[in-house]
Amino acid sequence: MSTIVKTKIKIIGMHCTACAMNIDFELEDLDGVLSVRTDYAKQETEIEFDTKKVTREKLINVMEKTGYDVLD
Amino acid sequence: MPNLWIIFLTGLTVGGLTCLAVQGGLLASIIAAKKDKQSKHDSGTVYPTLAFLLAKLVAYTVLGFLLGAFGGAIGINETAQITIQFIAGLYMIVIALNLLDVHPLLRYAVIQPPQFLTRSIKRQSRSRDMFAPALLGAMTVFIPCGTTLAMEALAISSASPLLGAAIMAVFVLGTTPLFFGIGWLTSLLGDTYRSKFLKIAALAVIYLGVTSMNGALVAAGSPIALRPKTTEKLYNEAPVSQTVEIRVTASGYSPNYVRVKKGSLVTVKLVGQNAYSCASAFRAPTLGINKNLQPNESYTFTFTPKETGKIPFACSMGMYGGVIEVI
Repeated sequence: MSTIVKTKIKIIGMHCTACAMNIDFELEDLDGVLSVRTDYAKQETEIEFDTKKVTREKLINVMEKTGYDVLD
Repeated sequence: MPNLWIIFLTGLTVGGLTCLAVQGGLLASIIAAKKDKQSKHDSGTVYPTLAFLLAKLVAYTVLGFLLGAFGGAIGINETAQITIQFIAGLYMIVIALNLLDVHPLLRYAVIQPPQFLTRSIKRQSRSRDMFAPALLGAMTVFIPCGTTLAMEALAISSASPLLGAAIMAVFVLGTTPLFFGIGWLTSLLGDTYRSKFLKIAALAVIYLGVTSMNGALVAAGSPIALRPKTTEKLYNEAPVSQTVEIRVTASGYSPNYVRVKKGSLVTVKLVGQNAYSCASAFRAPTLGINKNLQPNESYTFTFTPKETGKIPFACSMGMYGGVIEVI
């Protein structure tokens, strides 16, 4: 069974496109994250990750540490 | 001249903060990468910060120059110039309203840079190369935030390479001070100040947007525009003559109110005197006059007024203007 999943997470507190870039940069650095696409206009991020290496909770945790709230 | 102080203020407040959000992080990471490498003789944070900011200033100035030239190329056609100026003004207002978080839909007006660009910039920020900070600074032109986009719109609407360059340079200079205090300043200011800053910046951008839109309306000869200030009291004292000489200087037209008689030929001579501003782009829409003077050039045109009334004239941005009254 594949352990690669895609998830969408709603984000609160992105002021501009730079914030979206910040989130992309932070999440991409995590081991197990394959791709991240944060959309400022939609205020959400789409993450493709390996559930064996990283959990959804960990991803949310990183976003919150970067300074954004997550609507989960 | 567009209000360079307002542009500087915009840079100082919002530009500084929103640009800082991502660029500050990039700068910090490149400083960290360099420190890692030169553990023995640490060049500190001053050199990379300066190189980054200087390259950024140069890159944006060049960009402003190109945007101004682009606007000027389109502006050969007067209708296109007015349309662009109007749209640019509208765009600035939308960006400003988005800063105030008026409606989620407005967020779509902010163009998000494509990921291949943001990725290559991120890679650059990990580089330990000597010139990496400068290159990174220059590359930030590809990741503009909303306010930067608004300034770029303003640069296009200036229709002048020099003005465009000045607009972008002043804006980037405004954003500069915050970069020297990245860590402590942002945490010191906190969220309350942040939102105050955003409000100041939003007002500044709205002002610029309204000025730009109004300028477009003035240039188009629209009756609903707020006209540039003219001296009402002197209207009746203005001499009546069929030969009019109007001096064109950096601060506008003098005299800006002249009176001519109906039915006979009027000769208007525009005399440029160091007109290093948009005043050199003379427009009289109702007469079909559309002349871009060199700063010290003179230009003469004639017309025969058939009806009494007021003939407005203005610069291409609608910042300076005046009236030829036919009596």
